[in-house]
Amino acid sequence: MSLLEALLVQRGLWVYWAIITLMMIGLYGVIARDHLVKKVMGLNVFQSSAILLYVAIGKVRGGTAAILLEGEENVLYSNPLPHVLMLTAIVVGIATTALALALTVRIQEAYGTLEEDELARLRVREDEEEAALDPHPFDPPGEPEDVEYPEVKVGGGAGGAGV
Amino acid sequence: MAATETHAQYVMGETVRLLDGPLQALLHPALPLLVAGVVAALAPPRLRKALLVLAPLWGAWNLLGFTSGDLVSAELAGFELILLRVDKLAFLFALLFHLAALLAGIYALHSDDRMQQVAGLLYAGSAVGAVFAGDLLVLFFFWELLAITSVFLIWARRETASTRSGLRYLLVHIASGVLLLIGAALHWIEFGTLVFERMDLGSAASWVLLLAIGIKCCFPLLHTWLVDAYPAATELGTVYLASFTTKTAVYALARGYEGCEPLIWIGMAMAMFPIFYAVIENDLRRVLGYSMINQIGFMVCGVGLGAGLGVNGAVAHAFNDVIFKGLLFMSMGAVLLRTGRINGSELGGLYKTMPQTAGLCMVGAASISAFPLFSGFVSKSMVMTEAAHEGYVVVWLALLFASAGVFHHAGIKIPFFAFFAHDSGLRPKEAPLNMRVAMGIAALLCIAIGCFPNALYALLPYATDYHPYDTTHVVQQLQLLFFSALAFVTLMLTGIYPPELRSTNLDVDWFARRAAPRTLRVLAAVGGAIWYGVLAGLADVLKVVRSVVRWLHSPAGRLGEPWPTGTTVFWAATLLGLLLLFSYLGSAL
Amino acid sequence: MAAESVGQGLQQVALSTAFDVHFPALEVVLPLVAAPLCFLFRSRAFARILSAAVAWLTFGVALVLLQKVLAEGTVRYPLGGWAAPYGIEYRVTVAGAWVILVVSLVAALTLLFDSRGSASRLAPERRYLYYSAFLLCLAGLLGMAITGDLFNIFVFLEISSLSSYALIALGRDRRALMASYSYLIMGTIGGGFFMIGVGLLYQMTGTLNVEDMAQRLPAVLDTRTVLVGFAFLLVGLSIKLAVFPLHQWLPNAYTFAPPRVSAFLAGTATKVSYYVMAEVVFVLFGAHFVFTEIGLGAVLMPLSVAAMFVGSLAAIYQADLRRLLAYSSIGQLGYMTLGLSLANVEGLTSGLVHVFNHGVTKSGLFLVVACVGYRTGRTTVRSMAGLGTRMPATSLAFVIGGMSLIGVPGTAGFVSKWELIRGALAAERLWLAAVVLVSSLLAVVYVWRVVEMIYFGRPEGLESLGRDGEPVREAPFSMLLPTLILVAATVVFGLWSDPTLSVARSAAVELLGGAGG
Repeated sequence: MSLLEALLVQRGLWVYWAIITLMMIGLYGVIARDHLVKKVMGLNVFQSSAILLYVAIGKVRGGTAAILLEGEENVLYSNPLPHVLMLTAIVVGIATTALALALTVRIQEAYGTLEEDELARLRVREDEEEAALDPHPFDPPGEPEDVEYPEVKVGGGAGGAGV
Repeated sequence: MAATETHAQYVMGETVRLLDGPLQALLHPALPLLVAGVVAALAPPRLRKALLVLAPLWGAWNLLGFTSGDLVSAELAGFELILLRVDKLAFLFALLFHLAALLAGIYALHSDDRMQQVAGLLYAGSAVGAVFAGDLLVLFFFWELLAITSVFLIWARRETASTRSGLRYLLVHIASGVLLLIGAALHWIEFGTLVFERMDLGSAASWVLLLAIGIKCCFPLLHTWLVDAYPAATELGTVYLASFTTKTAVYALARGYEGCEPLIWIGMAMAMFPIFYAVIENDLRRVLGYSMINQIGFMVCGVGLGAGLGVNGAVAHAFNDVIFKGLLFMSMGAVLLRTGRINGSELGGLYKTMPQTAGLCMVGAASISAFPLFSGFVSKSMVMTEAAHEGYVVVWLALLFASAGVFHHAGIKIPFFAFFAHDSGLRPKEAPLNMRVAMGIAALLCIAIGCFPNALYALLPYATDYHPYDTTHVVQQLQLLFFSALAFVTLMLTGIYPPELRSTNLDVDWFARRAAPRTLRVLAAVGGAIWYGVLAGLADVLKVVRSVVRWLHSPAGRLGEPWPTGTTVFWAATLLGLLLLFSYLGSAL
Repeated sequence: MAAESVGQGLQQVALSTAFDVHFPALEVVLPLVAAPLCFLFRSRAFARILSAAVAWLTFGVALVLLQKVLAEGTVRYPLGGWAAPYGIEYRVTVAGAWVILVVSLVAALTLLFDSRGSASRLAPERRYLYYSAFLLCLAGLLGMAITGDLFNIFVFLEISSLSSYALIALGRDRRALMASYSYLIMGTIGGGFFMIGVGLLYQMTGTLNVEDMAQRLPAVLDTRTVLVGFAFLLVGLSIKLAVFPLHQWLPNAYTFAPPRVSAFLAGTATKVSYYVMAEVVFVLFGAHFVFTEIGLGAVLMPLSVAAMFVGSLAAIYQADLRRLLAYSSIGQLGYMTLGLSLANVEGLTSGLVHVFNHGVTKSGLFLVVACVGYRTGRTTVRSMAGLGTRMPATSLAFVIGGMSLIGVPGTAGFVSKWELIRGALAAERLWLAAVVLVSSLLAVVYVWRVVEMIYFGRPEGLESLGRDGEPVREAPFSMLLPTLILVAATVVFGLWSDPTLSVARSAAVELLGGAGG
């Protein structure tokens, strides 16, 4: 089926397009924004898309909420399970957001900025300062200058350690 | 496939005595030495010294309990490993190693250096383990253990030069071990077995394994580690080193490549080329190092000549070489210990105060030069006879030339420059008693084997009725030696030779006298230039590789620096997209 | 089978009470209940003792469970009495029991480690929060391996992840904050992908139980929804597993976390994700679908090889020991995913046995670095200069651990690497075996660098003094003991590899023989 058909004829599928669009917006936010809080917002959008996906899965067209209607038969219910699962997912999402925001607060306190490129610069400087403490930065073995060939004469050095 | 059958034969054959039960590991011949090494590492000096002597004796006693055909295997990770396989070949080498360990142990008694004594015991133990290894994995284990334990004997000198030498030595030997492991893997793929048996040169595994063994065995161009490292070790470290590593490699060759023709030519080259180096070398222990390669050349040649006299000669010569080369290294070690010098130009006249050492050294020199009634004669002639017998005239001539060369650089040059020649004015004390005892035992063995070779012949892997003392052999060898000596003496007396002697080889006498030194130097220069050129080329390649690697992976590199969060997320999304595309295509196809 | 004999051996120590029916639940509930207790009592000492006790208890329970699984096959426990597939079922397989054993062992030993003058940011009187988070993380990791319900896996994944973000952020260096933040972003996206994948599969099968879904999936395997669901699951797990190129959260997280947290996470977090990935690939979808129809091997294998090299090469250049070890972890994870991508018994066995071998080795090494950091006040490679004489036991521990990373025969690392090479040969991929050997050489380089510094390096000037200006001496016993136990384990199980190998092999056989295969 063509894209157009998918969009127009199968009416039920539009919701998935919406979800995917939402997900991509969220991911784009995380990828493209440098501000740490904006990244968290992108993350939230991304999570919402996942939650919406589950809600859409559980929805049965024409179905009602899964509350038992006494005395009525042939009632169409939506599937309650995905909806219930999303309660957990929302809790997870909130916990994540809270933790992320707490971290940004701490980062702001520690560095005075929340722009990632600036933070990266600061971190690189810290890394380099630490490496500078190291008076002999590593050079991998096999330095051509180090290659010495049989020229090592032992000469008349003092005898072995056993003396 | 042949190897599989042999294995089956080993396991199923009726003559096989399978050792089994929980105590089997305790009996492994390598254990006495290894255990003693570990104990010695913790023991007080007195106990350590006792162990140096007692462990080889205990090991030898334990060893005598084994007979050909004994087999012990264990299962590890789904492989059946043959920890122990006893046959005449392995037994002879093991006996030899115990003897060498005993001699070196006595020689080491005066020292208080824990590092060397422990390393020496462990080193000897790993050599014993290696010759009894029935399959390539166990061999690999002991192969690497040999490298690791022996390097401490070099480091024990505790000088910058020897530390660096040791590192190079370790690198070379680890590389040899890695090749061995790769060879083992290839062998497993090609033949489905890891049993270490004779193989034909042809499969990839056999070539890789030959290279691995060849490194330890000092094949031409792979030999530099020996002359680099041995002179760098301590005076007693070299004695240990000279006995085990290369002989283990000779064993491995005899086990795996018996009768492979290329070995004849490799052996010939090995017997020849070190002579030239030895002649122009000043450091007497390095001279001995070159002469060692030369002697191994005889053995490799013998292995290549194949079953019977060839292998017998190779093995017998290995046996003798350990004793007389050990003796020579011991005497040079004593000189180094007492004078602190080892260059021929700085020594001389030591016979006045070290007469016993000088005498013992000359016994060793006579043996290595294959004087009749000394041990070298009874084994070296086997290889040469077999070469002539098989119709390799060129090889026979080359070996003849090489023996004359040996007589020159090891038989005359070593004792002459160390103990006689011009008087250096040094008046050191005689070597310590324990050293003289060790050298004395070795000298006695040299003479005993030379006079009564049949005891040695009985131990050889193939039955033999070889008689070294027939007229042809004796006369031919004596001619060679006496004319060589005559030339040497004449030329010394007439003063034609500069103090640092070039050559007194009978066969190529004229050539050697006039043109050889210069030609040799030119050749050496050209060869050296090519070699260094290759090295420099490699170094350039390495440089490029290294800069690419650094560009990618160093902390500031493309892949090494921590990416921003966004980049990683981007890759996650990209990977998802790729995977979707991939699975879509995959399922569509 | 050797596995049976091990099972019988363990049986002797097993508690055979009726109560042990509840062990699968107990394994998760113990740390889950202890975590809030730590929080409620607000006492550091209490929290410390409780968490260590709980960790050792979970280890004991894990041992019993493993013995039971080996003897009786998969142990099932319907949570709350609701039978599967309607209720959540805890399902302990051999592989699962194996993983929880590793996780609880590493947790127990890292909690035994006395992190004095702790490098954590918390004020001493609030240190109980650390243990709370630690126990939650433990509960999450154990739960992931025990539960047989896909959504439940997601929940436990998030529990362990959230608590590990918090733990990492406790590192003393301020760079820990950014490390934690990046990990949080990556982890959340990974978790989100996993959840979306589960949702899509649920849409097609109407069940969340792994086994039930595995039975229903073959009917709908060729739908695009399942394919997309599979891709989401796999990428989500790859992030948690730090598969190249999704590995960048790992080095900084392990570098700046408090020492014990680095040791714990390095030994466990990625290993559990590995188990979940193996379960998804082999049990849920079946090797045939994943490797023959989709051809995942063609993606996973190059990525694993790339990880082996990128991780090891980057490790060579690191100045900081913890970052060196972290990059080495990326390389080692490459070996594990390579084993998985081979899709044969040997390959998967190597991956699963590496779960244990690498977990023990890497945790041990991180604890070694913690000891060094405690005495010298720094954790650079340079700070190891000359420690060979001043901290002999710690130095030796590093050397042994390093040898295990290289895969020297006689250490645990060799066992898994050898099995991996066998797997590559069984799959008739000779070049892979060669690549594994070559990449081991890179490990030689980065390990040798440190060893050279330990034994040949000379401390200069102030470097010879430790953190408080005192001369550096051997780490205290309470730090040394768990370190040495872990390092000794690498030697013991390197020489005596039968038990680990046989359990890993039966786990691999079980996974490969899973439904849908």
